[in-house]
Parts: sequence; structure tokens; C-alpha cells
Amino acid sequence: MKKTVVIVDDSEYLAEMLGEFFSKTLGFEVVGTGFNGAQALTLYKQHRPDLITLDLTMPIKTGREVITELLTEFPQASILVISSQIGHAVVECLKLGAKGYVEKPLRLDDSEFVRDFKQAVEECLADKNS
Amino acid sequence: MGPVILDGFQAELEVTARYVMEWMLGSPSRVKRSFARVPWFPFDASLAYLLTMRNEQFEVGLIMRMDEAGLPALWSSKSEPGIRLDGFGEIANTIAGNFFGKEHFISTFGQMRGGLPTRVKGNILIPENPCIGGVVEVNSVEVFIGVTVAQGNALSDTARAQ
Repeated sequence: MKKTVVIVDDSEYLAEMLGEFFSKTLGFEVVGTGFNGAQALTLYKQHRPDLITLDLTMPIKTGREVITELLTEFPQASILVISSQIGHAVVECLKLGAKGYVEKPLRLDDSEFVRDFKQAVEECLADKNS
Repeated sequence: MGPVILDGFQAELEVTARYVMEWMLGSPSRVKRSFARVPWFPFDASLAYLLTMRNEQFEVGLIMRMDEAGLPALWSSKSEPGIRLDGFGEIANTIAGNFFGKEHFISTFGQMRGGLPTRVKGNILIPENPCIGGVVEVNSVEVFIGVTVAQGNALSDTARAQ
């Protein structure tokens, strides 16, 4: 049975790119795609996916707000942050409870980047199963 | 609440901008106009994108400008005009996130919190605030990228679409 993922990014272009990557390269079923923080919460509650990816800068609710709210209601949620904010933002999100972090730009033609991305996803899921 | 001079960040901005653009567009870039201290908007263009971020002391802005007619050439792999516009904004967001998160920048100005971007057809004017910026060419399309820093909320207070 395929693992499921909800993808949330305010960029339609990137959400589409991530959807293809998760379905074609990682073998996930993309059960929902959202473009703001409120949709992230709704889609998670609706689908209870194995993984949710979050951007940080989004309309309505920021990624940080979504992490906090989601983990309050679903402490076992596996959250992978995918954002262009680097440095302190990474530490901050992990402290809030995100299981992993991938930095933009998405270098999906770079085999080393793809390997690291896959590893981040596997670690998120392993943490959920442990 | 005067302007803040950004000398010393030109090279990092150029490297960041080219790195992001090359990965997102899948094409090599070249610097058409060197990154240097410039007055606001030395580059005439019909499409502008401004992303501001702030903390308690400073507000920073990243501006990207280009001629909208160049979007199809810039995003030759994307056919939908809406996706091209969205992608243009995402390039700006990514450059901003990468550049404002650099250790050198944070140690000078502190960590910034994201605001949401503004995209306009035409100019965004932020009078009397110097910036650093330069022009990068990708897929034969010229894109201006600039960054400015002001104390307090000076950017939001004065920025306006033209």
C-alpha cells in the first residue's frame, strides 16, 4: 500500500513539481494539495496522511503556526518543512516539532539533493513508526 | 529612521541570485550588470515583485523586476501564463529566503520574519532608500534583483505601486 502525502505550498508551480516528485520518484499517493496554512490543517484532518509537507511563508496561517496547531491536535503527525528560509529557521521548525527540513531551491536534477531529500522523508516516516 | 547602506553584501546577493535562478530555470546565467550600490530601480521593466521581511529593528525588501514580455522565454518549459507569473514570484521568494538567512546577514541585521509578497505590473516605488542590486541574464532575459534595508517600518510606510 502506498504511503500518502499532503503537499502545501503557496506556489502553484512548486506544489505541482513536488506532487510529481512524490508520486513518480518516491512512489507516494498525493491525497491533497493546499496553497495556504488553513488548507493545510483542513487537508490533514480530512486525509490523515503519512506525511505532510509545509512551506513556511504562506497566506492565512504561516507554516510555523500550522506546525504548532497540527501537533497540538495530532502529536504523531509527520511534518516535513520545505522552505527557502535557511539557517535559524531550520532549527526553529525542528524545535516546534517538524520531523525534517528541506531547503529550496528544489534541485531535483541533482542526484545528491534527491538522495538527501529521500533520506529526509524516510527519517520523518521512521520517526512516526518508532 | 534613515536608510541603511548594504556595502559588503553585493557578492553574496549575486551568488545567491544566480544559484537560485539557475536551479529553478535549469539554464546558465550571466551577470549583465554588476551587483553594486544603486539608486532604487535603475532598471526599467513592466513587472515588479517585492518581498519584505522584518524584525523589531529593521525591515528588508527584495525586489525583482523584468519585462513581462520575457516571461515565455524565461520559463520556456511552462506554457501557462499563470504558472510563469507564479514561478517568477517563487524565484524572488527563494532568493530572499536564502539571502536573508545567511549567517553574515543575520549577524548584521538579525533574523527576519517573512511577510507576504507584492506583485505589480509597473513599478513599486520606495523613495530615498538605496539598495544593492544587479542584472542577471537567463535564457536571454534580463532580470534585475535588488535588496534594501531600512530602519523601523520605512519600506512599508513608503512603498507604493506606480
